[in-house]
Parts: sequence; C-alpha cells; structure tokens
Amino acid sequence: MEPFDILIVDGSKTDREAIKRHLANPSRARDLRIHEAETGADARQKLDANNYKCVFLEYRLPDMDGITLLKMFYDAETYVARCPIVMITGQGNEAVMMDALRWGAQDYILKQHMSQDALEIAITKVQELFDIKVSRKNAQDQLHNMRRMEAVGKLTSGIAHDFNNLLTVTLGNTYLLGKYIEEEKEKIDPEYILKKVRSIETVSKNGADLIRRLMIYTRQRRLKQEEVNLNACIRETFVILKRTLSENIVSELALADELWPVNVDAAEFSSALINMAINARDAMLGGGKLIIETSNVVLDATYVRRHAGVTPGLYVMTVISDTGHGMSHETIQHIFEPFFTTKPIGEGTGLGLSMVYGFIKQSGGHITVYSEEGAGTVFKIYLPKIRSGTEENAEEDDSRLPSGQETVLIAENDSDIRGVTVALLERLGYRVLEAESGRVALELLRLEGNKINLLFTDIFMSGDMNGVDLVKQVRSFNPDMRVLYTSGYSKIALSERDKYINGEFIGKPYRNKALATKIREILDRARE
Amino acid sequence: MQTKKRILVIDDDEFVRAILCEVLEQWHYEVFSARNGQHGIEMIETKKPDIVITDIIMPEKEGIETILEIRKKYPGIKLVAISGSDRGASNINYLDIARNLGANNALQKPIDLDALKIVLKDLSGA
Repeated sequence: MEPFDILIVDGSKTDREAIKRHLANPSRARDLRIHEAETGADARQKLDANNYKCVFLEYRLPDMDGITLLKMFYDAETYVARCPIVMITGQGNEAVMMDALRWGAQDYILKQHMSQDALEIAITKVQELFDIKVSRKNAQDQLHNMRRMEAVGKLTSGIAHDFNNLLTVTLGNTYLLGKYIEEEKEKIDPEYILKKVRSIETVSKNGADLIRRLMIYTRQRRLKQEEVNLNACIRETFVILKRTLSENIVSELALADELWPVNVDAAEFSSALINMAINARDAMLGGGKLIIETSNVVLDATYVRRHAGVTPGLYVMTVISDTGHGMSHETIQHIFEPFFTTKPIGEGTGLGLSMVYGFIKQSGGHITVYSEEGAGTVFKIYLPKIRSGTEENAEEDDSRLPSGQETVLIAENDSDIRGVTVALLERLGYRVLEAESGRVALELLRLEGNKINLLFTDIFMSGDMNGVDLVKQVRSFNPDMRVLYTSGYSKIALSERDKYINGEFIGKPYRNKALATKIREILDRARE
Repeated sequence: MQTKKRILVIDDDEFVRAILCEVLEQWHYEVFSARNGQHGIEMIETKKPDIVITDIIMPEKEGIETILEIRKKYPGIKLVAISGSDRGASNINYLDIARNLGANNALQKPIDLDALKIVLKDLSGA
C-alpha cells in the first residue's frame, strides 16, 4: 500500500495530538504516516521538501498566521496551494474561511466540530477538489500546446520555403568552390574563395536568425504578464509573419505613435497575431493585403452597453484586417468556439481563435470580428491600458459635446447601432432621420433631400445597395450632400479595398465625443 | 562551332538568382535573370531563351501564371519549374501543378545541381 503522508501544522502539542487521535482510525484502508510542524517556518521547510497527501493547517501559528503560509504555497496558475490543504481553527470566522479558500485551501474545519468522520470527509474532499483543479490546469496547458503546435505546423511550410532558398545558395556556393579547387589547383585565387565563403556566411546567418525567431515563438513557457509596448511586439512578430505569408499577400503595419503600454504576455500576444494572420493568409489564396494597425482608444458607456462583459476605459486597439473571402454571419457566430473550423479535415484543429479569445479575456481585454463575404475580415483586439493615477474618465457627459439643430440621415442596417446613434444625436439637438438600408435612405433623400444636411452612412450594408453606391446615387441629384462614412473596417484597410471611397470617415466603434465633434466639423465646414 | 544555349532564370530571391546564374555559366550556358514573372516574360521577348527556369511562388506575377503564359505564347521554350515549398495551404503540390501545366521538368529546392545539370542537358538536346 502506498504511504499516505499527512502534515499537521499547529503550535499546540495538545491540539496536534487530538488531530492524530481522530486520524488514527484502524478501519481506514490507508498506510498513514503523520508528520508534525510546530511553527510556520518549520512547516514551510517540510512543505518545500515533501509531497503531502493532505495538510491540516492551524490558522494561528506561533510565528505567522496560516494565511501567510498559504500565500507562500499558492500557485496562481492552478488557483490552489501546491498540495491539498485543510485550514483548521479554534474560532469560527467567516472572513478567515473566505481568505483561506481564496488562497488555495480546499476546506475549512472548526476544532470544536472535529471528529473522525469530519476529518475523513475532509481528506477525501480536499483530495478530489485538488485533483480536479490540477487536471483542469493540465487540460488548459494541453490546449495551449496544441494551439501552439498548430500554428508552428503552418509556420513550418512558410519557413521551409525560405530555408530551401538558403540551402540552394549554400549548396550552389559549395559546388562552385569544390569545382574551382578541383580544376584550378595550380592558380587558386583567394579572393574568389573568400567571396564564396562570405556568401555562404550571409545566408547561414539569415538561416540562424530564422531559427532564433522560431525558437522564441515555440519555447514552452508559462503565461507571464508584463508591461508591453504592443508596437514593439508587433514589429518583432511581423518579421516571422512576413516569411509565413505567401508572396502574393502584401502586408503592412500602421502603428500609432505613443501607444499606451498594456499588461500582457508578449509571447501569447505574438501567438494570437500569428494565428489570426495565418487565418487571413488562408482566406487570401488568390492574394490580397494584410494590415495590422494599432491605436489608443476609449471604450465608453455607449460601447459597453452593446458589448456584454466589457468595462469602460482606456484600451490599446490592435486591428488585423485582410481582404480575403470573408465569413458568413453563421460562421462569425461560431468562430471563437473551441474546435470550430471551416478548414478541410487535417488542416486546422479549430483551436486557434478560441485560444486567442481565451487569452484576450484572461488579459482583461476584448475581441470583436467584423466580416463581409467576398470583402474581407477585421479583428479588433482591445487590451486595457495600464492604469495610471491621472486617467481620463471613459464616461462622457453628453451635455459638453458639440451639438446642433441640423437634420442628419443615418443609414445603418444594424438596428442596435442605429438606435444608439439616433438617441445620441437627438440628445444633442439634431433632427434625425433613420434608414435601415441603402434603398430606404435613397428614398428619404429623394423625398426630403433639401432638408437633410448630412448623410451618415455605414459602408457595408446588407441588401443590394451599400453606402458607397448610395452616395453615388445621391450625388447624381444632390452633388453637394455632406457625407460621413462609417465602417467596422479601418480607414486604411478600406482605402486598400475601395479606393473610390473618398470622404469623411469615422471608424466603428466610435465614441460619442468623436462622432459629435466630427459631425459638427463637417456641418460647420459646409456653412463656410 | 555550336552556339551556347540561352537560359533565363526567374526567381525573386536575389541570392538564388545569382548562384544559379554563376553555376549555369560554368556549365557554358548563356544566362539572363529576372526578379519576377512579369519581368521574365518581358525578357523572353528580347533575349529569346531556349530554356526558362522559373520559381513558382513569387510576388506580382507568380510562377504558375508565368508558366501558363510562356506555354501559350512561346510553345517552343523548354520550361523547368523550381520551388522551395512543396505544398500550399490547400495541400496542393505546386511542382505537380507546374508539370501538369506544361513545365518539362520540376525540381524541389534546395536544388540538386547534379540533377539540374542532367535535366538541362536533356532539354538542350546535348
């Protein structure tokens, strides 16, 4: 029978003996080995050196309290102490009990309720809970590794291409060197040999650089949050990405100056970017453009109302846009679910985006996706700015926003967004007309055209008329109509896809302040 | 005296282009090079090569497209496709495609120079 080691940590010898008596149940089918520690320091030494099946830890110890000791053995990754622990105390105290459970103990017993049965139940219960928590952590680790390996597999094909080119150059040079030495034995020119050696050296260094970056990426490491400037992280990752993307995909960075720092695991963020870029690549087999942008943004109360689980505040936004085949509404609904994939069998585990989602959530962030079939996809990752003492409040006071009395027509097929925008503009004093499609907007413009001062239109609307078509039609009978475009795409991504979009633009999500200011600017310019 | 056979090398990697040109010159071919398919097609007009060695994955005009165009416009030119990736994202073998579309031969990078020498000898009718 495997020995069952138990540690009793209690300053009182009498109390330790009492626990030992309760544990000494001859009917129990265990080979019990009981160890004792009188102080926190003694317990710490013993816990460092041994694996106990269960630890009974008294809250009040001569040299420290039990919570302090628990904290020393708390494993933040499994949310449990490093071994099963039952906190015991002479006096009931709910706060102590909550603290003990918070810091990784699995159970809590009052000394006056101690009995053979109570201890037996506690031992079984803490072991089961401990095993469940550890298994869950192991499963999470496995998922992380699977995702990493999936991405590595895809990276390999891109990197193999570069390596084969490097090796072609190396082999070509060694071939030429060999021939030269063989055939020109009598009049060897050191300059010629040096030139060949330098060429081999250059490509070998390129190869070594590739390997170094790959090793950084694949290294098994624990989640480590630290202050990160995402621009630097993106630039570093971009070097790997460019080698992974087909040569018919143009990739570009548009990184904001003075980007706020975030608290994030840089390697995980890099993996997330690679995952999304590889998905983008697979959506652009015929070629296209991948753009990665960063900016500082504020997610305000209006935004938070439409996105459950998001806290208002200052965020760093990373936008990954592609001009690929896009996704259907049905696909978008499932893309963050584990094991959901649209790729052929054997080409994707469907874990990539679910792990990206998990990582972003764990980092206190938020991710959105916007896609149009045949047009492309935009992912936006929001990671909270590291808080400083002088942070601007994300909540806005509408009464201070620029206002007006002109008439604005909003063409937007998302009823939630339309509703929120209409409400805002009405609060600001505008007369607001709304249309759920390009067609309806066009009708309204025909009927009330000369009363409408500004058309605020989404670029991509379902139906047979998008925002650009709408504006073209309107301009045919009202060439001076002021227009403000909006889209889930960033302006940079849009300008690549639709070069004909030429006008004022505000990207979604827009802040109340940004929209109110933009509308006021356009209308004031119209008046000048 | 037999005139030298003319070979055009199309590859976007400048190191690969340079080393192939040097090796081919050693083998007594007259060699030209182009950095992409579009540039390669333009050079065919002026340099009239007997053989074209083209990479498959390149920016602007990639190799498959180049092979199709050469086959259509210049049926007499011998074609050798080369590629560093054997399979694309959809698991299709690029070299097989190149052969199916009319490349006389297709070689995987890193190029086995002995194999290339034999292929070129066959295609030159030497």
